[in-house]
Formats: sequence, structure tokens, C-alpha cells
Amino acid sequence: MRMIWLRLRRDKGALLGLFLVTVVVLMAIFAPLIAPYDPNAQNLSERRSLPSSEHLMGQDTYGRDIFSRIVYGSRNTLMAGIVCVLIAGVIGSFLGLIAGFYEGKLGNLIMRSMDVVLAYPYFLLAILIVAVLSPGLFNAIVAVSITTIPSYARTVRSNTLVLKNSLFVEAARALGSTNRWIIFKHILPNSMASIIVLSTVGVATAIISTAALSYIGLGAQPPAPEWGLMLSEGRSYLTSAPHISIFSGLSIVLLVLGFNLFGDGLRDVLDPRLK
Amino acid sequence: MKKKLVKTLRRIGLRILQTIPLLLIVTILTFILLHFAPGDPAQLMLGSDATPEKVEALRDELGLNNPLHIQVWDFLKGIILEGDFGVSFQSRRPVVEDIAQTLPVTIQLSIIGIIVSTIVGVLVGIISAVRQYSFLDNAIRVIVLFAVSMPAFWLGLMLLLVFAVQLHLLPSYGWGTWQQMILPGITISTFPLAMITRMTRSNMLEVIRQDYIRTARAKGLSANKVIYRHALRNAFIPVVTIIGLQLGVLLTGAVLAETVFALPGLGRLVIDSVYARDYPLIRAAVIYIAFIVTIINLIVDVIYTLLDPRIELH
Repeated sequence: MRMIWLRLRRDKGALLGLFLVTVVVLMAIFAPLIAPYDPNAQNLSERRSLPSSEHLMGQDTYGRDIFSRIVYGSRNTLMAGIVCVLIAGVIGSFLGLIAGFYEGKLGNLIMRSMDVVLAYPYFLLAILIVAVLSPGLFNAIVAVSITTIPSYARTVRSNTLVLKNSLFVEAARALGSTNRWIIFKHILPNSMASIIVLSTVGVATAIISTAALSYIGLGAQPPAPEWGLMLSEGRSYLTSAPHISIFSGLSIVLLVLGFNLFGDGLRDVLDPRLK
Repeated sequence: MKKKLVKTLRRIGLRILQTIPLLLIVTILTFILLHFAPGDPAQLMLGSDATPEKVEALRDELGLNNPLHIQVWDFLKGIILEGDFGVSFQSRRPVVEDIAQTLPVTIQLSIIGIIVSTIVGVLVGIISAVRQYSFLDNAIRVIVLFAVSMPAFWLGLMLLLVFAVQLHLLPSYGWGTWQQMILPGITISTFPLAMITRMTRSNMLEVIRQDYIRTARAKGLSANKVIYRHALRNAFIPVVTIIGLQLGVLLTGAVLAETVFALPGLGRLVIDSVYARDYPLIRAAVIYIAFIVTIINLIVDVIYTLLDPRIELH
């Protein structure tokens, strides 16, 4: 672990990424302390005002302080990205381990199911799932998680297939270890590099996907302070008050950039072959 | 030689056969998923002031009270025998008509996206690889990183803001003239372009380092000739796969670009249908799109096999 950190420190891009992500995480944790106003407090006499000393990023179409909404919105956005990756990662890795280790009919069934999920363009599948579950941030997270599961399943499965035949697994078997022990104590830890790399970039993609769903109205619902939703709220006033859309979109770009930078750096350290 | 050809053809045939059950499952799954969506189709069709008797009568007529497997079977029969995907709740027309009306816009937009992202992406990727570590290469890599981090809907809005609203250079909505195609085209191409640039660059770097390039150079071929003849040919194959992989991305971009620029395409139709709970339309659109994507992936796979017989089909 220390080795990884030492090597990572040399990559300036990765450090910048980590910095960006940390800023947003701190913003999310200390939101009540940082945000100057209540994100839902409306002020209809001051609609769409431009950035000023009182309102750093101006006000939106209901007079709410945009800066406060961005700060609180970081919670929704971060949560969406992280939960998606957690759900997809845990379920997908588990499926991949089983499919790779036991192979046979079960393995085939699992991988064919992944093929079915992959047959749909991922955003379309997410829209379909939200259509079935009804719009909402939580359902959007579920939808995006489901579309992400196959990439974990496939990667972990191919890792498992290779690791299954390695020397230390053979040795463990000779010592009498159970299958479950081998899977979770030997194969999984050695797959972690791929899983972590998938996850950092996965958070970036999940954030964009959930924000996209919110933008088209199928994710977070008003009056929630969510960056994608704020972007669409600003769409109608692009001519008169572009700052509403600019700041929310910029926040998404910076956060995603952070995760991408950090993810790239992490991947270079953990497995340069993947480049 | 002939044996190899037969083997390859057999592989391709097998691959095509594998696709058919996949398409069947996708169709059935889509039907079943939407079956559990909230809202009663008959109620939705007749409106909120219809009497319960009328709703019930329509339910019987549409076969909504049948057990699920009968409904699935009827649906499949309708598609295979008559090409009937049902009637839209909103327009009261067969959904295939609504889809046919909007499909051309989306296809045109997607083709623009594929062409621009592939051509520009490969070119920039090659330049970046050939001039590795130069200022140009580093600048390209930074731009690519930004491009990959930008949500398509934000990029579209910003383009709209700058070019349509502030500079009044380009139209902000509609589809038909070439001016109207520029901003949506840029929006949809950016992410795939960045990905293709990355992949081309890393593939080219790999190929450039290989021995036979060195041998060719030792034989006295000029540097440029070496690159363009040997490296390009071998780097081309992964690009074909990437196009297949970027299809999902391209489609997402199309949906979002259509929303931002108010284009009358299939993506926007799907979203409007979700709002209106127009389930027959959602169902048909999803199935159509999934079909198109699966078939294109199949074609890409086949081309890939033909280009490089060393690669396994699965």
C-alpha cells in the first residue's frame, strides 16, 4: 500500500485529480458549514440574479443561492457515483468470481445474462429501468448500477480464469483449502487491482450517467439540489441567465476530471499493461 | 487455404446463430420489464375521465387480462408475422410509423458522429503517437482528458451558448440545413473522438516499437514510409473494434444532443414517451435500437475476424 502511494505521488496528474476529488468530498461533508444559504430557500423577488458579493454564483430561477445548491448538490452527486460503483462492483465481482471459478453451466448462464444486459445500449437500458421504476435519484442509481455490472463481471471472470491455474492456488489446494477459501483469500485479492481501476473510472462514468438521467428529468427530481437537474433548470434561461447552467456543469466536469486523472494515475501504478 | 476459409465461414455462421436467441431474449425481456411499469395502459389510453367499465372493456380487447406468457406470445407473434409493434398511446398511430419518422434524424446524427470521431480521432491519435512527448502530444492528451470528462449535455449547452446565443453564428435548434448539423455533430462526436484518439495512440505506440518496424527501417525505408505502411495497417484492426464499442456512447450522445438542440429524433421520442408513459412506443423503440446496435456489433465482429484470422470470434 505504501509502495503504491509513493509511486503515485510522483504522478502530478494523479495528485491534481486527488486534490479535486478531495475538495468536493470535503464540500459534501461540511456542506452545512460552507453553504451560506439554505439550498431550498426561495426568493422570488431576486430571480436569476447574476453572481454578486452576496451570492457568489448568483441565483437561480426561484431565487435560490446557486453556490449553496452546488455545495449541497455535491452530496447527491458523490453519493450517486459511489453507490453505483459499490453496488455494481460487489455484485459484478461476485458474479465474475463464481463464473470464472466454477465455469460450466452456472458460469455460462451468468455470462449469457451479462451478454443480454450488454445487448442494450447502456443509457437506453438505464432509461428503460427508470421508466419501469419511475423517475427518481435512487432509481436512477439502481439503473446505472445494473448497466455497469457486466464490466465488473467480465473483468473479474477473466482474471479468475487465469488465477485459477496459478501456482499458489495449486499449493493452497494441496494444503486442503476449501474452494471458498481459495476464492476469497487468494483469487479476489489478486483481482483487486483491476477492480480498483474499474472503480475509479467507474465513479466518473456513473456521475455523468446519473447527471444525464437527471438532466432529462428521469433522475433527481425538483427541488433537489443535483447538478444535472440544475443544468436542465438553467436550460430555458440560457440567453438571459447562463450562469445557472455554467456553474453546475462546470462542477460536474471538474469532479469527473478529478476521478479520471486519479484513476489514470492509479492504473499506471497498479497495472501499466492496461494502458 | 480453402480449409481456413471454410473454418472462418463456419465461425461467422455460428456467431450469427448465437445472435438470434439474444435478440429474442431482448425482445421478451423488454416486454416483461415494461409490463411491470406503473400505470394501466388501458386507463392511459382512454384518459382519466373514462368509466371503469370502458377501461375494463379495453383491457379485455387489448388482451391485458391474459396471463403474462400469453401476452408475450401474442406480442412476438404480432412482430414476426405482421411487424406490428402496437399502437402509440399519444399519437394513436402504429409505433413503427412514429419511429420511422424520427429514425432518419438520429441515424444521420449518428453517422456524422461516427465519421467525425473516427477520422479525426485516428488522425490525431497517429500524430500524437508519432510525436510522442512533444508539446503537441502533451497538448492533445490534456484536451482528450477534458473531452472525456465533459458530459455531452453540458458541452452541447456551452456550444449553444457561445455559438448560437452569444455569437449568433449557428442556429440553436432544428434539423435539415448543414448549419444545424454542426453543433449537434460536435457534441455527439467529442467523447468517442477522445476515446478513439487514446486507443489509436496507444496502439500505434505499441506497433511502432515492434521489431519488424526496426527491421524495415534497417532495410532503408524512410521513417514516414515505415510508419504509414506497416504501423497503420496493424493499428487499424483495433480501431474497427472500438467503433463497435463506441456505439453505446454514440447513442447516448445522440439522445442528449437531441434533447439539448431540440432535434426531432428517436432519442427525444423515447424520453418524451417515458414522460407520457407511452409504453408501446418505449418498448418498440428500445427493441429497435437494441436490434440495430446488436447487428452492428455483429458486423464489426465479423469484419474483425476477416481482417485478422488469428483472433478468436469470442
